[in-house]
Amino acid sequence: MSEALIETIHLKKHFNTSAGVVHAVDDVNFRINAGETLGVVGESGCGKSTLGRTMIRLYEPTSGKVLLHGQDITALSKKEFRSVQNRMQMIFQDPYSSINPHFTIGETILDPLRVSGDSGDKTSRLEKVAETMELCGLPDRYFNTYPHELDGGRRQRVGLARALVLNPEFLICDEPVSALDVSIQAQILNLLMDLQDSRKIAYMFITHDLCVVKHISHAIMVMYMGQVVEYAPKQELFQHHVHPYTIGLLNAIPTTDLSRRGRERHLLTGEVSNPINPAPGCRFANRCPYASEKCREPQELTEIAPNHFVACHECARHA
Amino acid sequence: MSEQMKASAKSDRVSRLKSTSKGRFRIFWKRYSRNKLAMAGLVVFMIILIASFAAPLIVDYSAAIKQKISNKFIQPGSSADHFLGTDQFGRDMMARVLYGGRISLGAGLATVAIAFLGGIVLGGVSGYFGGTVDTVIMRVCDMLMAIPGTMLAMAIVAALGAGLDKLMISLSIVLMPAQARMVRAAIMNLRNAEFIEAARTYGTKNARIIFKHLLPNIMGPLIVSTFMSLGTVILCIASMGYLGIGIQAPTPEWGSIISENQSNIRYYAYLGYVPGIFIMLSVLSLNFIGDGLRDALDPKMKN
Repeated sequence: MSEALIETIHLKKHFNTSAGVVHAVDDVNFRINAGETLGVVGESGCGKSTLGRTMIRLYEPTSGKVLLHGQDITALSKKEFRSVQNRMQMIFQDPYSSINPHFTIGETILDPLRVSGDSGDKTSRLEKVAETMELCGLPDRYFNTYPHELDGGRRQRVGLARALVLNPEFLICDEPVSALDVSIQAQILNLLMDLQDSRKIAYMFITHDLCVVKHISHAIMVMYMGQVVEYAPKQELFQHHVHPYTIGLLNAIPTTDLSRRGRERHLLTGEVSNPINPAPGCRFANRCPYASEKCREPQELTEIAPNHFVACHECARHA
Repeated sequence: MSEQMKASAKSDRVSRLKSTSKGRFRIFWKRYSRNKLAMAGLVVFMIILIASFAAPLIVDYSAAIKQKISNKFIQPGSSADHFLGTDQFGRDMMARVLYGGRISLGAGLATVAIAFLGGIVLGGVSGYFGGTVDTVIMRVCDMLMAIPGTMLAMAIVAALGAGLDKLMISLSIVLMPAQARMVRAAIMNLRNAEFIEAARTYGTKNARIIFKHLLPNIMGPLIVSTFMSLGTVILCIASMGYLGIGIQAPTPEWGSIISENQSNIRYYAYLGYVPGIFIMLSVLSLNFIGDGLRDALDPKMKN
């Protein structure tokens, strides 16, 4: 197995609120190899965005480690962290609020270079900007336009260019296409995949759109209420998903296949329980049709097939 | 050969990018000058400002101070020597209004500027950092806002001692809490925007986030409200003078010109409307300037 680019070890992020401690990310372990994509799926509020933000220390983790090339970046001081910060960048969901409306496109893409200050003089910076704009399919004439003059897809390209101008090795994509219409989604996804081919960037692709994840990922991680419930290579997950939550999630994908009409469906019922001070044990138990007394005990991620992990004692027993 | 061509094409491209990026001020001025009302406001305000500060070139200061009862209540336009008439003591109204403008506009603008800067600093810190800092600053603002403005200003002047500088400080303290609250609300609104988060992912420091990302986005409405408060400040300086703190008679100042003439305004209306027109014109023109600035600073407005 190739060396991991980025790895998390028992990563936790808890938020203290007046109502109690919200376990937004609870003991998450995974690794992403260089040039690969990990798709992170789960319903709204399951902690997938928090996970991404904690990994690049937009939120300070409560405990656990994030290793970049084996180096623990959570242990670095703010100053030391600056030197590795540029290797991990992020693109955001909303192309409208993720770009400063008072910056021109050129300034937006130039700003990371100015802040990091290690790209030499003005000319070499502009060269870098021009190169990145071309890479992201933004014509030069946009250099002096303001973001409001561009449509959502082009703005998302600007957000991508802003992240890529620093030559990151790892890019967190926080639902980058969910605010775009379908034809534009495809353009952005293809652009991301081309960039991965040419620059060997690793992605962590956060989304709730399973079709998108199927298209772009090498491995998929399913999260439920801050915890990983199933984690497997893409083909494996789509063919042999075992966790009841994953089954429900994948069954919710609408298909155009008429022959599968009237098939048995596994619909999820019930509501997400309160993420404040959750009880130990499986957090999905109160919605799970197979729940038993044993589900009240903490669930370990168990490898049931090569690289296929699932956090469910029942599934592990049957495998 | 082809490498060379590539390199030269690249440098062509960069110089093209450079040349198309016009200076910020030129773009700003182009947008501002297109707004006719704002341009009119700027012209009127500059005329009043220059006339006030160049007053010694137009009339002698003694004309504004020296009393000559035989000349009292000359109607505007009826005498070549007293173009805007005279008041109850025979002092030239034009001299009084022009010299008064130095204090009203000078002190008014300075007060508003201090309140503007103080409001940005306090509101910015409060809104951006939140937590305890926010609570402390906001509770102090609440306390100041609970006291009626005039009373507060009087109390501060009483504590600091009389003088125009002290009056300016006290009035800016009165204005600051409202300004700080506005800045705080605007900053809090933007603090969690994704573009701020994006700026953090490449290591932007707090100061740069505040000055480059947050402040430009809230400047428009802030400028408008600041210029709007200038009228209030001019009148406030006047009422302070009336109460005997701040500007002392016979030093002319727009507000006090109105208040010292108020018993005669019934019969000689010009005593009210001559300084009144100057106050109105400067406040109105400043409001137009403020609107123009807001629009010119907003990239979403059409150029």
